[in-house]
Amino acid sequence: MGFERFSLCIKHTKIRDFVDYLENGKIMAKRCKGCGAKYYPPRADCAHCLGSDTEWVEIPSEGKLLTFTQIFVPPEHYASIPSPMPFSRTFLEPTPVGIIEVEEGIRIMGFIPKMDAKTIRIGMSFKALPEPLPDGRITIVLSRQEG
Amino acid sequence: MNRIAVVGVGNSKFGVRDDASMKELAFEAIKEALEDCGLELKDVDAMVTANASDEFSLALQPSAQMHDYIGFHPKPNFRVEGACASGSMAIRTAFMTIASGLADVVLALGAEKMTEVDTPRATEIMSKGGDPVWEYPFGVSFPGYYALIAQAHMARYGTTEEQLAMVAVKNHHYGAMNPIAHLQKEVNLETALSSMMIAYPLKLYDCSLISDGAAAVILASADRAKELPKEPVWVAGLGLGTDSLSICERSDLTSLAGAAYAAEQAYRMSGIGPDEVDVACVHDCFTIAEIVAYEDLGFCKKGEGGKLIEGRQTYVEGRIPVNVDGGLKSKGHPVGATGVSMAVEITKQLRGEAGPRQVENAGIGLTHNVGGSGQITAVHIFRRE
Repeated sequence: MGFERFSLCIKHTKIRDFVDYLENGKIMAKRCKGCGAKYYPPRADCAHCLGSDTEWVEIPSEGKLLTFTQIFVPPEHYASIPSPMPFSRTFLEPTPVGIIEVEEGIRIMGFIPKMDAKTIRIGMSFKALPEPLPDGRITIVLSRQEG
Repeated sequence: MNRIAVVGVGNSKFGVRDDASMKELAFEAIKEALEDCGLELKDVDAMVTANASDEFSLALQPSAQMHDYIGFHPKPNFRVEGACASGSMAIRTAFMTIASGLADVVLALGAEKMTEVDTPRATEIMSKGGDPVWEYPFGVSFPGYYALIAQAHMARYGTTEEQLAMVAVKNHHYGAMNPIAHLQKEVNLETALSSMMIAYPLKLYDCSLISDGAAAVILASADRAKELPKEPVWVAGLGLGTDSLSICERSDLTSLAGAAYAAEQAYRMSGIGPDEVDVACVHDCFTIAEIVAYEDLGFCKKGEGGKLIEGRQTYVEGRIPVNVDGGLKSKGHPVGATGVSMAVEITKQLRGEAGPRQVENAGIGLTHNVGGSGQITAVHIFRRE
């Protein structure tokens, strides 16, 4: 498996190393060597100067929560499968998702495990961390920080 | 530039149309639009078809199904797409076709058959309206995107869940009076607030509907428009704006930058300001989207959208009536048809044909049609002479 370990759908991209960095515990952005523009989500090509000479740079991982939600009716790829047992029902307790800003203009989306939307507040501090999943996929989680 | 007018409009009944296929719904809308202006299909020079998703249509070229079914060949027809703003792309393209001199009379059609697939599948298809790499893996559904916007708006401006619900109450109030609406029923504030959570803080009644339907608008050059029996409704301004694919890349989540850009273009082209608009159809795919639209269109100051609905200023008798056809919320949201259906409603309002929902003496109308979570927005301004 390549990039789809993270994206779940797209296999081919010039920024597939993103997943290898995640594997090594790092969330990386891309910086244009020509004009210095920094991109997260990373991109292989610069939308400012149209240069394609870009390099990987590590970004801060801690930041304040900008917004969040908890999706109770998920898209098909995360929808719960009805139980085959007669008269039973499957109950999904979804993981909230949020966006933190780690430096000006750099915002990271991630799951917020083990929290409920009603206890989360915008402005809370979180740390973005890569998180390998048991099925071989890898994702990003936002871990609550004090302060 | 020569002026261009809407001369004929038609709209199929919106809803779970398990009695009809997409092309049959398109036929209903086209037939009504032709009858509305007294033209025959042979008088129409070209056609433009809006359809948002192959995955709903289960076809590679859904537009061909429709021109084939009405027997339009060999005249030109092609498909345009701008997600939930596809319908406005058809109107914009029809306008450009006439403005370029390629044709005098053009049919803009919008259609979507969303209930051909089940609800989890429909939710999946709509979720792909966002970034397929950086948002899809986090399971962000379409309501999820607008929930992220709602949370940011509520935190910054103090917009409340009650104010969101008030948008639903209003739109259902008017949808209940609209014979083509999907859900023709009133909803009270308590019901809306206690409905099932879809994407926190958006509940069932904050969300638009998964609908089937089609809408058709016939546009004509000034010379042709003046020959027809009904008073033309002139296309006065067209604006189109875009924004980043990923919501993470936006510096402000409380506004759709592309919508504000499109509004500015449309106001400039028409020489009309927000205070002069008599009636508007805005993209209330979610209740928060209507509140953000009030602000992006300049109907109120930034952050005051919640207060505008709370003060009932967007009801028929208010300062700026919005979505008095029921909106996407109650009339329904067959994605590709929506932008065209907005133009149908505005045309009826400007002609004084809106029945119990009529805004008295409406002379200027506006449509605001958003694709995805704001990646594309069209704002069109129409006026009666």
